[in-house]
Amino acid sequence: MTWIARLRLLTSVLLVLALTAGLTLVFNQRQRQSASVSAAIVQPRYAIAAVAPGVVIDMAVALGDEVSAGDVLFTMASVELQQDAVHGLAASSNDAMDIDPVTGVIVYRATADGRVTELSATPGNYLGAGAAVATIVRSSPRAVEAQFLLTSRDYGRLEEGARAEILLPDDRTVVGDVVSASVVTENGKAVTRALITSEELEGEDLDLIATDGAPVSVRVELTDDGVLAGPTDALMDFLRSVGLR
Amino acid sequence: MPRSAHDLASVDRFTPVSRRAAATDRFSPVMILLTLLATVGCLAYGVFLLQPSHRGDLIPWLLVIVSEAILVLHALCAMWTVLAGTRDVRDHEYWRARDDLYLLSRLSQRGDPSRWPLQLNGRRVDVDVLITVFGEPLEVVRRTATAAMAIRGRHEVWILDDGRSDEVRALAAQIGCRYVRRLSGGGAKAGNVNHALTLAKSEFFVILDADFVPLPGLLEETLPFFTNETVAFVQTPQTYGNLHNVISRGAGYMQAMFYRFIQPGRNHFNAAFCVGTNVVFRRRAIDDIGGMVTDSKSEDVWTSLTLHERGWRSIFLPTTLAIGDAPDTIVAYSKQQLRWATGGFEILLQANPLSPRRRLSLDQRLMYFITATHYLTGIVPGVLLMVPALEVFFDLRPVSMDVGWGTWVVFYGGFYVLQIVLAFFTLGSFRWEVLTLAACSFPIYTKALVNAVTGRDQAWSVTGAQKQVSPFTVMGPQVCMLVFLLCTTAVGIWRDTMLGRPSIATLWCAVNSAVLLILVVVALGEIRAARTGSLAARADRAKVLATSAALAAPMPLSTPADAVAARHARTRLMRTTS
Repeated sequence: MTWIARLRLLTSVLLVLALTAGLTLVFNQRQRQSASVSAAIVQPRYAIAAVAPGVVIDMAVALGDEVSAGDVLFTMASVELQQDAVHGLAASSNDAMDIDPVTGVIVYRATADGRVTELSATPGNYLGAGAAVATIVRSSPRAVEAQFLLTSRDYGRLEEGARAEILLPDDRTVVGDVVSASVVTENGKAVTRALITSEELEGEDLDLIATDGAPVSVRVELTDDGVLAGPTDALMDFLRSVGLR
Repeated sequence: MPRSAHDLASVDRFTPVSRRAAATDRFSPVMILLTLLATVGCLAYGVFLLQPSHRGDLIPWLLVIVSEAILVLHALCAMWTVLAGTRDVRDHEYWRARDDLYLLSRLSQRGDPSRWPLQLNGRRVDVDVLITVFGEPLEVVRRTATAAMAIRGRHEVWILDDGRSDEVRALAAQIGCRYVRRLSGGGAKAGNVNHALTLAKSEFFVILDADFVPLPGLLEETLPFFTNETVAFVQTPQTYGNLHNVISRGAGYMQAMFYRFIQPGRNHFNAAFCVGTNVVFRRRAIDDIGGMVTDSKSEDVWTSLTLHERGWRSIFLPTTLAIGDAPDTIVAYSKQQLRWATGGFEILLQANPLSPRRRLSLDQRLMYFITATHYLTGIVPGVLLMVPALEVFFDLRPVSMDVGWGTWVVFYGGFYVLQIVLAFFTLGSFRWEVLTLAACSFPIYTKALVNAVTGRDQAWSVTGAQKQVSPFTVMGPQVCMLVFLLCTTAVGIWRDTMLGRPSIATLWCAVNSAVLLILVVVALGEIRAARTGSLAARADRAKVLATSAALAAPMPLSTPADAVAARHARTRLMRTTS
């Protein structure tokens, strides 16, 4: 075997080793991530219910309306409230409602900005105390609720504050943090539910894309304290700096 | 009551072993049943892979589907060909011509059987035996030429020396055969034969490679076919005598299936092709196509194809009539396979047998298409080696995770295990060397495909046929693949411990590494053997043993020579009694 042939063989073997090392780092990078099996945007929502039985006398909003804090939602007239006032049990007004104990009229107001997503009464309806009238979904803060199938070993590697990448329906990626996690068992499989928040989700241009219930996919990073942690980070930093990630 | 071996006198020329060998039918009903079962296994595996619900990730699935489609189609076609070959190619006309082969009127002049005049259809015929030599060792040429002189039936032996060796010329003079040396070297072996055909003018000619020692019955068994005027050539199998190490056994048994079952089957498609040695040609057929086809890596197949296009008939006779050498070093094996595979791909690219421009029957088109694509099955293992690595590194699986182990094993085994059982049954034992070699040869066939597509004639930079070359010169891709698979196996084991369950991908990587490791061990052993010089000696010993065993083996059927001997004995008896 000539020296040139030996050198060529050696070079090829070294190249293969380098390739395998690169592939191993890619594998390790994948190993310390977990992809969600399902995930969706969740927005805080609050329901408005009648505080006293009565009749809806005016509806100021329609389904789907944008409302701001302090906007009037609807007005009810309550005979019971009037009687209570007569007996000295007058309720007082607050942010959510203006109460006129003399006439028994209650004006319900929005306490935060949002959108009316449910409306279950029209003027003239008689409602009992505690009956749901409207649901308002707030536009912020948005969060993502994601489900993962994690082995117990991987669950141990999921930490509060872990970095999570959220892939939105329009292929945009935003970065968030894991806030909390819980585990439930479904069909014999342990499903980890994690709540992820991200300030980037608050952008106004995301109002339609990242609306409540929009499907997204999430990749959370699991902590890696193995020997390959350093090299993998270096590789990922390199890829990020050259623009491949 | 069990009978022990007895000490009775032998009743005939046979021993129990040789009698059983002579009485065995190649196509036993069990073999046919196994072939049918394997066909069912093939089809079931194909259906299993194609089911949409079993599909995994796209890339590995495509790799597996394409690879397995090639393997499954070739396996199906091979089994079809095998089943077609159950009829004997020798018909009534053959046997009649065989009985009358030696000219009766001159039988009174007995003596040297190699001078007995031959006749076909009542007409005297001459035969030339052409031995092509290109730098082979003198002893090899001597053994072949001496054996060629001793073939029964009147014939002339020619040594066609492209190596231009004065020693070979002296050898020819010494043993009394003719010697031809040409001035130009164009057209390789076919060119050499064409040149000799301008001098040797007999009606039939035999081509023998320098290492193929012919048996005395070569002409007796083949010439009777030519009583049919449309027969262009009769090919006999390449039988190897030097099966003394892993490479030669692997390379030799790899051909066994082809010569024992595939070629006989191709007879019935009229698509048995010439393999360049141990073949008897009708001179007129070669004249009809303007000489042997040159300018190709596979001039034998091209010559056959051209003859078939001109309407000639070819015959393959599955009887061993010459014993030669299989390549017994990795370098020799690689060179041989590269040459054959490049030739095969050349046919596919330059003369696609399915093209309407070729004047072939549908039977022949299919058979030549199988020949031309056969070496794709050699590239497939290289593709399949990468599939487990995709799972280890990228989590990409060819088959859906929902398919259970049991289902997978049943269908996978239905194809591969049955194929191996069939090979086991036809070859008489499990030849792991063939599997090893087949799994490790993908770089050779890939290179052949590249060579054929680009039209380049690129071989390894191996110089000198005789000089010992390190096997690692040609094993670069295999060594790299081994390193890659070993690393992948290690990563796979790490991954499995992390995930807490064993995976089939890791297992495959480990098995494939082991197979490639065997090749490296063989290569190291070869280097050691080359140092001590024991390789050539062992090969020689093995071949001598095989040749003498073939010469001593009694024939189940009486030969024309037996008939002559019997007639002679009868006349002598009559003479003594009168």
